[in-house]
Amino acid sequence: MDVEYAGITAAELAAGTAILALEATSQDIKTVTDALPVLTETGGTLTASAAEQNVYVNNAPAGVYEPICVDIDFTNQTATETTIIREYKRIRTGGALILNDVPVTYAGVVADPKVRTVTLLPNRFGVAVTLECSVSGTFRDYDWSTSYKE
Amino acid sequence: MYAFYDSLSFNSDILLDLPFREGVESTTQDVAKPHHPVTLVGGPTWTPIISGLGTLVFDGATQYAQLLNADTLDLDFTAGDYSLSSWIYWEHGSTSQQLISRYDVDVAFSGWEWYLTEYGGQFHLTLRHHHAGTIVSGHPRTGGNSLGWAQGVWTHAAVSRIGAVAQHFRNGVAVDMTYSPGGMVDPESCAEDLVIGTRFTKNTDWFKGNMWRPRVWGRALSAEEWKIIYDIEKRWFT
Repeated sequence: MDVEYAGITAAELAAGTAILALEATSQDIKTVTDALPVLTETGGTLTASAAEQNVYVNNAPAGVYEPICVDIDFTNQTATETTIIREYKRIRTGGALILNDVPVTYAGVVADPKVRTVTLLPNRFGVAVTLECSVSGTFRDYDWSTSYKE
Repeated sequence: MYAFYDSLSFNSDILLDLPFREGVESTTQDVAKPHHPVTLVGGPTWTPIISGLGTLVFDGATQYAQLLNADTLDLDFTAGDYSLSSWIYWEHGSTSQQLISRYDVDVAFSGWEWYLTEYGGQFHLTLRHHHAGTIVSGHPRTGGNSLGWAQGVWTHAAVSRIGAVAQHFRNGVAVDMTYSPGGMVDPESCAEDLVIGTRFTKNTDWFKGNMWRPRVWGRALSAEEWKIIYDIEKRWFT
């Protein structure tokens, strides 16, 4: 036994070793929990225009993240408006945001359910959901909400 | 496995949270429940740092963020506790550099402001309350400040206002404070926009440098909560 251990019993030494192991485990757990993704929501109201506008965009995620969906409320849309919803995704660093699905057109009053959902998938390089009012009597307000984990 | 935003204890009663996730254009989303509309004015630059985290760079000359008065009545603190925080990487520029403020000293002394000052080789952070109806030692304002806020390094700055006290936390650790006589007197109701990175007049006291995730709570966060936030988020900056 080393001199520095003189006077320490084998049981005390074992207990100390166990405590050190627990501390290491605790730190390992903390490292994992600190990096846990957080399910987060945000949203707002977009006033439509003849231009294609971002409803939700994350142009450069900090790492792999998991967008879940974008909900858009069409309650305010009337018979005189037509809107187009597009979903874009970037799949390599430095690449362009490219269409990830067929654009969906909503012409006139949208039947129930008024809230329509764009489902998104995990992503690392960027995602956007846009709204364009292609035929307009009035540029309406559209409430929207998105949820994602990161 | 994941955590729910609203289940994280330090997110209790959070009123404004701007993680700057968009990376493009001139709006950014508030992920706190009020969903305050935020406009970026003058084109602050979306800039990822080496970890990949997106931040906003303000040029110290014309750029800021604003939330209209009508949209921020819940942030018009006139009594009670509240907290502010932001990650900052500030640079030499204006003598005073506003972080987050909702105040007025022209029409009437009202509201609150949280700002950095570089003066005489000292680097201060100050929380100031304006209260025209309550004159303290001849002044319509009271404040608390701390020293040692270095430029050119990422720092988590935070303050918990509890009654007469406004305790600053640097990287999760409480720092020494100096108060004006009487401590922090309640601010009076203010009708100005909430601004990030400039004075309420939007023409001076520009913040220069990077900013990430300015936040506001309607309660005083504890020292333990500031430490937890710092410990979780520091990985992006080291």
